[in-house]
Amino acid sequence: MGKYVSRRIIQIIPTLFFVILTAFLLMKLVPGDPAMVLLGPQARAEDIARFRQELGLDKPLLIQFFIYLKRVLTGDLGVSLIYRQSVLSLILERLPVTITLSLCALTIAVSIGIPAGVLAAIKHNSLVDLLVTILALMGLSIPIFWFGMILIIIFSLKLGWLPAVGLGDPSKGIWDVVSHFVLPSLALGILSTGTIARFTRSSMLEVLNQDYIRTAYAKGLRKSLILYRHALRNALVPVITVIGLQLGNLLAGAVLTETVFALPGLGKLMVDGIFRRDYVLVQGEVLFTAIMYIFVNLAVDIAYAFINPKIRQTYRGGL
Amino acid sequence: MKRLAVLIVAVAFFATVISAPNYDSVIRVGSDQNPTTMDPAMYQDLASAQVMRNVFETLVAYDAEVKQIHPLLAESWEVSPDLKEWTFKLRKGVHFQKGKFQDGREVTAEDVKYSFDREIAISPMVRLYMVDHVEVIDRYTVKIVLKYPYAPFLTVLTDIGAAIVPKEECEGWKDQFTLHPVGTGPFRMVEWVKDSHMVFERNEDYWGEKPYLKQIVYKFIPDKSVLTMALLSGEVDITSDVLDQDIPKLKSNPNVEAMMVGGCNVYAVYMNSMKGPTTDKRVREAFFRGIDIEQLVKVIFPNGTGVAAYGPIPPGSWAYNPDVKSFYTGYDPEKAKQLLKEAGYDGKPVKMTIYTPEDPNRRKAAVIIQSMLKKVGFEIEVQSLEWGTFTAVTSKGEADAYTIGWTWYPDPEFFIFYMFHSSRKGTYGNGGGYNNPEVDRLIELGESSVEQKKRIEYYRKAEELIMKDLYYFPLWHKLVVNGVNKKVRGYKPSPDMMIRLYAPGTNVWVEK
Repeated sequence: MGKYVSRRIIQIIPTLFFVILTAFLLMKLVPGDPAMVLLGPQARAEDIARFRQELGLDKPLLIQFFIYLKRVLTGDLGVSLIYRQSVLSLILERLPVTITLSLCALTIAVSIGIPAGVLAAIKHNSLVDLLVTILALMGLSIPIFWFGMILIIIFSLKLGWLPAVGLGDPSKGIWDVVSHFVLPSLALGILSTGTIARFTRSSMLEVLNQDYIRTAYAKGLRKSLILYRHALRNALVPVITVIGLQLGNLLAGAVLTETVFALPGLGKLMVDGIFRRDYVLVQGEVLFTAIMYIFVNLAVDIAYAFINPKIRQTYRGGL
Repeated sequence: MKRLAVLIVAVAFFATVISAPNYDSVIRVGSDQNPTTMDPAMYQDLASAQVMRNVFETLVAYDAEVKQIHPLLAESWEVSPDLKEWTFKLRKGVHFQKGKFQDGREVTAEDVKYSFDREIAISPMVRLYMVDHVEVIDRYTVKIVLKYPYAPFLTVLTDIGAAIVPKEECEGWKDQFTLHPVGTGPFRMVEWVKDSHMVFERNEDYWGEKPYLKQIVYKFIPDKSVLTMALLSGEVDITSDVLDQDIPKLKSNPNVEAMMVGGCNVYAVYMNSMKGPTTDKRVREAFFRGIDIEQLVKVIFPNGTGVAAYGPIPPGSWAYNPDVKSFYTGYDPEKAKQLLKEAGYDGKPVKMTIYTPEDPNRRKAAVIIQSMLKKVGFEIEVQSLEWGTFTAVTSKGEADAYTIGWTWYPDPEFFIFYMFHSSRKGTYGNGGGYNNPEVDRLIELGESSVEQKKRIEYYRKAEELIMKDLYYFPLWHKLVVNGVNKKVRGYKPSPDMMIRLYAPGTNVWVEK
C-alpha cells in the first residue's frame, strides 16, 4: 500500500512540471503585446517600454521561464496587474466561496444522482428507468448559463422565494447565507447529477447481473438486503471515482455559475482577469487550479486503493 | 372608472409633491464591473473611478451631465497667457477624513503637490504626463507648471487620478492604502468584500452640502441580464448598463424606468489611407453611399439604445455639432455603383477586409455592411480577432479597414486628436495613418486656446474636414442607459457612464 502511494506521488512530479510549463507558454502564445494591451490604446511608447521591463518581458524566453519556475516553486504566483496584489492572496481570499459552492453542488448531485441511478437500475426497462435516463441526459446537456438564468427568472423574479445574486449577509442570520447558495448550487450541480445518475445506473446493472447476486436470490435472502447490502456496496466503488472526477467539472462550471450569480469566487476572478487582460492573474489561476486538480485526483486514487483491494495487488512484486 | 383614474393620478401627483428629501436614504447600486483598487494613483478602470468619487475629491469636477467644470477643492484658478502655468486658490477649511495616521487635518497646497508628485511617480497610466512640476506658493495657493501649453488641462484634473490624498495615510499604509482609503469626500468606505459588494457611509464632517444618502451599497453583478433581473426583483435600486434587449422588460415594469442620455463614445469603420483599395477616394465615397446607416443602427439597437453617428464628436460632448449631418455623404446605392465604375472596377468587385474585435455589436455591423455593400460591388471579408491581435494588426496599419470604438472625456480633444492627428499614426486610434495637415493645424489651435467658444469652432471645422475626407465612416453613438427604481430621486445619468449620486448640482435621495 505504502509503495503504491509513494509511487503515485512520484508520478505527479513530471505532471506538475508540465503544468507549470504549459501555464508559462499559455501566456506567451496569447497574441498581442500584454503591455500594450493592458495600458490601452492611448499609452505612450515610453510607458510601454517601462512596463515591459517591470514584467521582465524583455529577457530571453528561457531565462523568463526559469525565473518563473523559481518563483512558482517558492509559492510566488506573481502580482496581479490590475489589483496590484499578490495573485496567491487574491486566490486564497476567494477560495472559500468556490469550495462551498462546489461542495454544495456535489452534495446535491450525490443525494439526487445515486438514488435516481439505483432506482433506474432496479426498475430496469420500465417507465421510471426511461424517465431517469432522459432527465440525466438533459442534465448533462443543459448549459449552466442558461439554466442559471431560468432558475433566477422562476425563483427570484416570478415567485420571489430566493435571492438572485450575491453573497448573503451573516448578520442577517444563517438563512440569508444559505438561501444565497441554493440557486447557484442547483445550477452548478445539475451536470454532475446527470453524470452520477447514469454511472450509478450502469454500475448497479452490472452488479445485479453477477453470479453472487443470483446466488443470494437462490438462497432466499430478503430482496432489500440483497440490493442494499450486497449490490449497492459493490456498485458504488466505481461511482466514487466518478464523484472524484466531478470536482474538475465543478471547478470549470464554477466560472460560469459565479458569473451568473455574482458570487465572489475563483471563477469570477478568472473571468475578470481574462476580460481585463491581467495575464499574470490568469496564469496564476490556471496553475493553481491545475495543481488543485492534480492533488484531488491523487487523493481520490489513494482513497480508491483503500476501498478496492484489486488496485493494490497490481503493485505487488517487481512490476 | 374614469373618476377612479383621475383620483389615482391626483393622489400620485400629490404624493410626489409632498415627499421631501430625507437624510436617512440608503441606495443599492448594481454594477457589472468590479472595482480593483481604491487608490487614485493606481486605478485603470471606470468601475474603480466611480466608487472612488465617494471618498476622494479633485481640485475641479464635472457636474453629473459632464457639461461644465465646477470648482471643488479649488475655489478659483488662473492660467498664464502661454497656457503653461496654472495657479489654483484652495478652498479653506477642508479637512481630510479621520484615519489611522492623522486625525482629520486641514488640506493645504502641500497636499496638492504631494498628490500630483505621487500620481506621476507611481501611476501605471501616467495621467498627468503633461505636468512638469508643482510649486507651493503659500498655504492655500499652488502653481502647476506644464511641459507645454495644454488647454484641456482642467479636464485632466477632473479625473479621479488627480485626487488629493493625505501623505500620512499613503505612506503609513503603503500598498495597503487601497484597503483604507482616506480623502476629503462626502462618504467613507466602511466595507469592501472584493468581487461582491462595497459599503460607504456618509462623512458627517464633510465640508460641503450634506448628502441625503446615509449609506451607499454597491453590488457587483457581472452579467448585464442578471443585473437587470436584480433591478426588477428589487435587489438593487439603480444599475450601470442596460442591454438593448432588456429595455422592454424595464418598460413593462411599473416600479422602474430606463433613464437614457447621449454618451461620450463613438463607433466607426476607419479606412486605410496608406495602402489598399480605400486610398482611392471614389472607392471610399462608394463605401459611404452604399450603406444605409439608419437601417443598420435600427437592426443593432432595435430598442433605441444607440443612435446613428455622422461624425466623431459624440453627443455627450459639449462640442457636439447638432448640424454634423450636413457634412455627411448620404445613402445612394446607384451613385455608389457608378463611382466604382469610374474607379475602374467595372464588373470586378472591390476586395477588402474589415477587421473587428469580439464585440458582438461591431461584428454584427461588419456583417451587415458586408451584405449592403455586396449590392453595389464590394466583396468584403469580415475578420473577427481577439483584442490583443486586433490592436496589434490595426495599429500597424495592416488593415484595409477596422471597426474602432472610442470613449473618453467629453472634451473634443480626446476624440479628434487621438484619432486624427498625424502624430498618432501607428496607434490604435489612428491605425490607417490618417494625415491632413489642415486638420493637424486646427487640433493644435484647439489645444492652445482656453476659450471654449473658439475651441468649439476649431474642432468642428476639423470634424467637417475629416468627414469630407471620407476615411472615417461613423456607425453609432451608444446611449448611456441606467435602470432606475422610481423611488430614486434627483438622479441624472452621466454621458461618461459613471453613476454619480453626489456631484455639483446633484444630491440623490431615496423615497421611503
